[in-house]
This record gives sequence, structure tokens and C-alpha cells, in this order.
Amino acid sequence: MSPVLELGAVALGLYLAGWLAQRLGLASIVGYIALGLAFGPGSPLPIYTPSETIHLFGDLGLLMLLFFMGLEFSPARFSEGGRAIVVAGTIDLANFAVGFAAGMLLGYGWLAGLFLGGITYISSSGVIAKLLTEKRLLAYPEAERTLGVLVYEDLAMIAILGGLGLLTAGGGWQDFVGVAVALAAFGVLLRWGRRPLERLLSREGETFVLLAIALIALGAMGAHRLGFPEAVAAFLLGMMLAESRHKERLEETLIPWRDVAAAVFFLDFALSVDLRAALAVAPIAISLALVTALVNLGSGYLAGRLTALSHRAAIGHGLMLIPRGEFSLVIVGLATSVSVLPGEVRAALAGITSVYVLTLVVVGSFVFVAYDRINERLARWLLSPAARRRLRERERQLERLRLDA
Amino acid sequence: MNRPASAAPQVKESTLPGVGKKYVMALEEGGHVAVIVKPDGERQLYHFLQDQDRPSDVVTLAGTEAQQVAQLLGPTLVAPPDHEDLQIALGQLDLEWIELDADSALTGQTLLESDLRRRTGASVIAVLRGGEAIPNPPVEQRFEAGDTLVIIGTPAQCDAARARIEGDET
Repeated sequence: MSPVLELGAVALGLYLAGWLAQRLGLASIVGYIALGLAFGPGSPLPIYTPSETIHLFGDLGLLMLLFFMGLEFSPARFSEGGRAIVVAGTIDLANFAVGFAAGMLLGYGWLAGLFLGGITYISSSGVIAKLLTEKRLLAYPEAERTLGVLVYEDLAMIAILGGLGLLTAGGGWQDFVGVAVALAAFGVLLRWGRRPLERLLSREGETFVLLAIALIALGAMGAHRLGFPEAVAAFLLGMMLAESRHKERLEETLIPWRDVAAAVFFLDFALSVDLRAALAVAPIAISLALVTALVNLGSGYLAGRLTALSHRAAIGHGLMLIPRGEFSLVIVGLATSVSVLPGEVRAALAGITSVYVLTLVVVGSFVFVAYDRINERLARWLLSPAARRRLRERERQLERLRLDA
Repeated sequence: MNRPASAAPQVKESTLPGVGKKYVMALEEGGHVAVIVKPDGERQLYHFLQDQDRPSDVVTLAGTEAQQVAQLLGPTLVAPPDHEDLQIALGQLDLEWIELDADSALTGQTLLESDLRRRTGASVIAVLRGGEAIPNPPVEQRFEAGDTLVIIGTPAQCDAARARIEGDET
């Protein structure tokens, strides 16, 4: 197949899959993953094997996801939320334990456990922010807490990615020198590089886009050469520009690029999954998804109650954090490229994660669609014993009044 | 412009990371309204009844609709937070809001030093600083990063002023 034909076919396939998912009221990521699972080399209908061109777009998509995560992240926003975010975010780390425990129980070893922990830990900022806006829940008190916790998760994920990158680097002294050089370079850029960077980016039209893409790709790959995780490098580059006056222009011109490349990344990942292997681990993945949803509900409720949310809003906070998505795929994407992990563990992780993410995007979207009803029902059902007693008393009083009348 | 005699109601501002800004204002009759401002110009308006933490109604306004509603509710004193150019064209007259950042040529200068009137023809009629307005600023008024200058002039004069204010060259 000629590369242009391939690109056209992939674009059409992604369009149709995304459109269908949206028609069903789901996030388009569901369509992209399903498409890859259905037609990849490991499926019963192996009609498509991606070429280097597609991998290239996919890799760029991963870097751009992280670049924008850094661009949207600013320490100032973090401190604004203050104590509430720190408390809620720390309790939210319980979701990391879910995946880690699962990895250990399944006998994948502690390293795979750490990857699986990251996969179950990180909620999907993309899906959650979009659903909060679309379903018009933004002004609910729990929405503010949820968005704050997502910022905490971003920061934690960068630490996790950095740690995993170092753990899997192989680790000779050269690696540590390389990482130290990369970190020093970022330090220097952060201290003295901002103004020149601002000037450099003062361009219009395609020169601006080209320069930005060059910056992301070369920055990430330069760091990679030094043994520094390129995903973290892309995040740091984004963070460096978070306060820049070009931020809005970067968003305007590059977000369409990011979304297209990210769609290819999701597809490329799903294509690499062996469908039979995925189906074999599907019961594990779905159980893991349900446990995650429950733990999230519990940790969210605890976090909400400890940070002054009402009974109802705290349950809502737990509900809102359920969707998993792009960042779970980023982590499994890294896991499948780690040679230290045995091949069958990597295949199992890929299979579990694809089914896991599909389940939690679907469940999570459903929760948002019927948010008020689910929230209310759960709030009544999970009433504290004291509150339930009070409610019963009131109902009895009403009954008596009615009898008197 | 006539300021209402009673103190303006307090508006609480907070950031919704990755989404936009949230402004909450308590209502005299009980309950509160919350306005969500997204960078793409969309506004969501939530009405909460007294003692409720879920809204009784939500209105979504696209950028132009929000501006129209703002007009209906009364003239605004401060430029909208998305810094869209707000132009009031009265024939050949332009009124523009221009925000200074740390790189602006005028930051740190006084109105006199800036020489804006002589060089561009446009006049600074007010400085907006942290929610406070300084109308008819004196010549020794010093500009700071974050100030919004309200300038008046012909479109050409305003363009020249904007180029000078936003440019890095001195």
C-alpha cells in the first residue's frame, strides 16, 4: 500500500469510528480503540498492519499529549487550590495501589505492577473535562475538586513516568550522567531560556507551527538520547511555555494537530494488541475496572468529606473521577516498549489495558450522562446510619400526620 | 459612569484547571449564581437556589450571545477576561482595551515618558488595575505589567498605539 493511500484510509477509518462512537454518546477514544482491536494483525479480521508512517504519527501524538499536559499545568494553579487538592489528591493515590496489587496477584512482578498501578491510577483529564462541560456540571462544588485532583494526578504521573523510565533504563553510570545532563539542560532552559524562546516563537503562520513541532520532537528525542524519558521531556517543555504569551497561540494552532496525532496513537496502540489475548484477559480487565470504580468511589468520598464537600457532593466527586483514558494508554505504551519486561507480560498488560480503558470510558460516560440521578440514588443508598435514622423518623412523623388528618 | 450607591456584590473567582475560570456571586434574595468562562469564549451560567449545591438551571452562551446578554444587563466597566478587542465604533472613534505585560515597551514608564499621545495620536483615558479604575490618569502615572489601558482615537491612531504598546521595541 502506498503511504498516502494508507494515510487516507487511516484518516477515513478514524473518522468513521469516532463519528460512530459519538453517535452512541461515547467519547471518540472508544471508537479509535475498538477500530484498532477489530482490524489489527492479532484479530480474526487482520486486514491492516500499520507501517512506519503510522507509528511516526502515533509517536508524535504521544509526545504532543504530554506537551499539552505540561502547557496546561502551572504551579500557580496548583497552589491556588491549596490544602484541599493536596489532601484529596493524596487519598486518590489509593487507585495506584489497585493496579499494583493486581499486578502482584497476577504474578507479573513488581515492575509490571508499578506500570499497572499507573494505569489504574490516572483518570482521563480529556474525557472528564469534556463531559463536565457538555453535561453542564462545571459549577458543582465537586467539579472544582475533581479538576484540582486531576492536576495533582498529572504531577504524580510525571513523577511515576520519570521513575519508571529510570528503573527500566538498564542503569549504568553513563545513564545517570545522561539523565543528570538532561535535567541540568532543562534547569538552564527554565532559568535563562524563556526569553530567547519567546522571541524564537514570535512567528506567524506555518513557520510558528513548524518551529513548535521541531521544538517538541527535537527536545524529546534529545532527552531520549541522554537516557531521559522522552515523555517527561515533552511535559517539561510544555511546562516551560505554560506562562508564555504564546500559550494561547500554541493551543489554537497545535491542538488540532495533537488531537489528530493522538487519535493515531490510540489506534496504533490498539492495533498492536492481540485481540485473542485481550479477550483471554478480558475477565481480569473488567474485574479490575469494577474494582477501580469502587475504590475510586470510596477514595473520592473520603477525600470529598475531608475537604468540606457535602455527603452528596463527595459521592459525586468519586463518580466524576471514574473515566480512564489517554494517559493509561500512554503508560501502557511505555510498558510495551520496555525490554526488561517479559514478552508475555507486555502482551498481557496491553490486552488488559485496552479492555480496561474501554470499560471505564463507557461506564464513566454513562455516569456523566445520568449524573444527577445516579448521584442522588447513591447518596440516598449510602446515607450514614445516623442520617438514615433521621430520615426514617421524619417519614414516620409524616405518616402519623397523615393518619391524624 | 454612575456607580450604584450600595457596595457592589462580592464576586469570588477561582480557576478550573484545563477548563477556565469560575465566578460565584451570592444573591440578595438567597442562593447564588456561578459563571464559567472558557477560553473559547463560551460562558455557562448556573443558578443555585438557597441552600442547594446543585443548580436549578443552567444556560450555555456562545461568545457573541454572552456579549449580547452583557449589553442587556448593562455596560461593563472592565474588558472581558478573554481580551478580545472590544471596539466601540462611533463613526471614526475607537475605544480599545490594551493589556500591558512584562515585555511591553510602556511597562515601567509614566504616561509622560511614554509620549503616546504625541507619537500615535491616541490618548489614554483610563488605567484599569486589579479591578480598580484610574480615570484620566495624571502625566506622572506610572504603568505596571498587568494594567489595562483604555485608549481613545481613530482606528489608525489606536492601531499605532497598540503596535507601540504591545511591541518589545523601545
